[in-house]
Amino acid sequence: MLNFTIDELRKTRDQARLRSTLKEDGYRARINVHTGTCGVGSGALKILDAVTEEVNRLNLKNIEVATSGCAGLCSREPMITAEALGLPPVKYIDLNPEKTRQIIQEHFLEGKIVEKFALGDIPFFKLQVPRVLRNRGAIDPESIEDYIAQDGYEALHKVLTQMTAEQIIEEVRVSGLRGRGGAGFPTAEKWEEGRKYKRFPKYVICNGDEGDPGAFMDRSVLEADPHAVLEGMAICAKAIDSHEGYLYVRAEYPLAIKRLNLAIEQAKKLGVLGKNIFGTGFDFDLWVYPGAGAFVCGESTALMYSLEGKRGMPRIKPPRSVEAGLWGQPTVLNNVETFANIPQIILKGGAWYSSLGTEKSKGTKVFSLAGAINNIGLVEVPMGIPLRSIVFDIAGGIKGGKKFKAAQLGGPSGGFVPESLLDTPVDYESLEATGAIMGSGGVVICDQSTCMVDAAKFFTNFCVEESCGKCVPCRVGLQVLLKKLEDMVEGKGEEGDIEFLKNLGEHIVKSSHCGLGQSAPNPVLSTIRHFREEFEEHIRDKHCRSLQCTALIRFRVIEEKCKQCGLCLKACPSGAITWEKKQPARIDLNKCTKCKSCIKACKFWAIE
Amino acid sequence: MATDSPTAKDLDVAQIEQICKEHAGRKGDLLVVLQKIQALCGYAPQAALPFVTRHLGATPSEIYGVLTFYNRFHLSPRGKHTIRACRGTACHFKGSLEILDKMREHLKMGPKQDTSDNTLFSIEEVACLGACGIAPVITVDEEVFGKLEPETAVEIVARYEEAEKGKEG
Repeated sequence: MLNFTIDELRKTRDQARLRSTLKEDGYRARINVHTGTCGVGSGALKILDAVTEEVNRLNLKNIEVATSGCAGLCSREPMITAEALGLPPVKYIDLNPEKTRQIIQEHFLEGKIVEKFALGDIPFFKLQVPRVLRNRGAIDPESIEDYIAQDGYEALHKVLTQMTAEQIIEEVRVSGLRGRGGAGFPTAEKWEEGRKYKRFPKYVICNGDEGDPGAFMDRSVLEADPHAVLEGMAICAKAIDSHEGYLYVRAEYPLAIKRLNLAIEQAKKLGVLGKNIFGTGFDFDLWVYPGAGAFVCGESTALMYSLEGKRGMPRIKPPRSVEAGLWGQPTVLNNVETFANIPQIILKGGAWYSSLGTEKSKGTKVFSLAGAINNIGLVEVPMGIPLRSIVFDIAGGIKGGKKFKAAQLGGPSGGFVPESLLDTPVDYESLEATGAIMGSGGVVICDQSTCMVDAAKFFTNFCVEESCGKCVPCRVGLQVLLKKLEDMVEGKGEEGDIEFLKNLGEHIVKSSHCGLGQSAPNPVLSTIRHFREEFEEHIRDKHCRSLQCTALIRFRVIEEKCKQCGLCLKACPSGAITWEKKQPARIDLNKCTKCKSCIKACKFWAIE
Repeated sequence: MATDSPTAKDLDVAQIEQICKEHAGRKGDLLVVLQKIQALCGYAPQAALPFVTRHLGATPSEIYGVLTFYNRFHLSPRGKHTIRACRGTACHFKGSLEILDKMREHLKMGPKQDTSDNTLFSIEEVACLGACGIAPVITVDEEVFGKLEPETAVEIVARYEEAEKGKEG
């Protein structure tokens, strides 16, 4: 359809809203099965089958069975959201087919909430401010009408008909929005630079190459609300006068790629993207490019080389991408979350956006929480919230009553925040002062069973694998770092190694070409800064307090700590443990294969 | 591109050439073309090289450079099932390395070997599958398995093996 007008947009919006409202003469109830990656991996499809079967068996009428993306609380999947006239919406968690059948029977037939399977009023959701995630789990991401029902493409219409490029950029400037990919560069400044250069064509690129292990924010946004990202890109295109855009998305995210392609197709068909948008004469077309598995392509210049069909090896800046980016043309590249924020900033105003947050970090930030915590999932919090509140209120503290040890932020470019710094507010500058970074938003919580030397080794190994090999400090320096760390976990560490790691690490930070190398030593440097005593124990005492480093474990039962429960005997696969009631266990080192099953089984840290 | 690739006649050469022709003269589409060829053949066969060179204008060294730079490209045929073991942070702290080791041990694969001798399984380590909520995670083909222990991971692989035996019998 050509020349889709604002009246038609609003008509579509009102119809979609009407359709989704529960009412006596329409759908009276809705069951939403959350089928994100975590849900499916926990058995959500079996739940969907059970729901469908039970609805048919009980012959329930006027009830809609729908699927949607992740609701955010991954560790309690499979999960459904139950809505029915006369009852508040309820999330049912930790489901199996049997529980599901009971819920359908009681909630939808008898009109009673099944309290024992329902998610209570937990701080996990209460402390969040969903802006980027406002539509998650609520709309069908494969339906453009659903997005339009949430005021979708209103902002694009506004910028195309009522705003100049300068006004758009000014609104973004007032919002204080900074790049959500990790570096925190002010978005308005980047757009202003992009607008100034008058060489055409110009390009808009969305960086969806979310490679940090432990981060899944962008995947969730792309899977749950793809149109918000497309609309943000189109608004940027108007601000810098660009007519072509690319989305570079990790190949590991097939669902996100599929939904983006579908979203682009729907939007072009309707006339809100593509040629002559809303009949205003403005053109903006987009393409999705799947990555091919290289972490370094998250670096902007590498990403652009990859789009050009080359090896993704970063180049030295300047010139910056806004001056000479894709094919040497002026290019504005932003992260998924940055673009997803834009439509609401335009509709509600920059001042609305900046009403949340700290002096220098405005608005909200999406984090993916994982590791040794009770509530694993995706959260969106106001900037400035203390890290402690994220860990202990939202994430519900450490699982199994264990002790908090560190929060890992920013993946292989980031660092570890210890307990003593947990009151640090979440903003770009404060986090950097701890030796960690905001990063793209991956947070992994470690308890006392995580060895900090092993953790430093893990990230260094990752960067060694992913280094593009172009510059020496990163290519060779990181390998030397890794070798030293490997020696330490194998009990071959020597006096002076810690100073060596620090010196070399700082050298790599200063002399590497691109962001990957400049930040790769961060995990090592921050663990030395906050957990130096663990490095010293590995070197001097040949001891790993977390019982992770196999070479440093003696596999000996500490008799005073042994509660004589016999759990280790049951766990041992090689018959190396002897135990009799009321006797401490013993390990026969001739039979022991050092598999650590006993250590995992022992609840009393009685094996060293 | 591996020397043990099947000869050109085992592959759908016409279709490979068709893919290259669709992108003729557009060297910038190299990654896309190679991804399409891999989707067709399961890997990037040496036999495709002349077509890519002829139609896109990329030199063999440029093509080889791209193929070896990106993890997702494979230069030799893959196993029937692809096991992807997540090696992200959350999975690592929950013992993903042991899971990987046990699966390799079960399939009698060396540490650098990526496809089992009976060509039933290829194992890939991936940086992060983004399913940290149910760590540690593996996927077998399109199926996701979470909250694993080394033993349960081996059981899953064994189930696939049994299913294959069933098909033969």
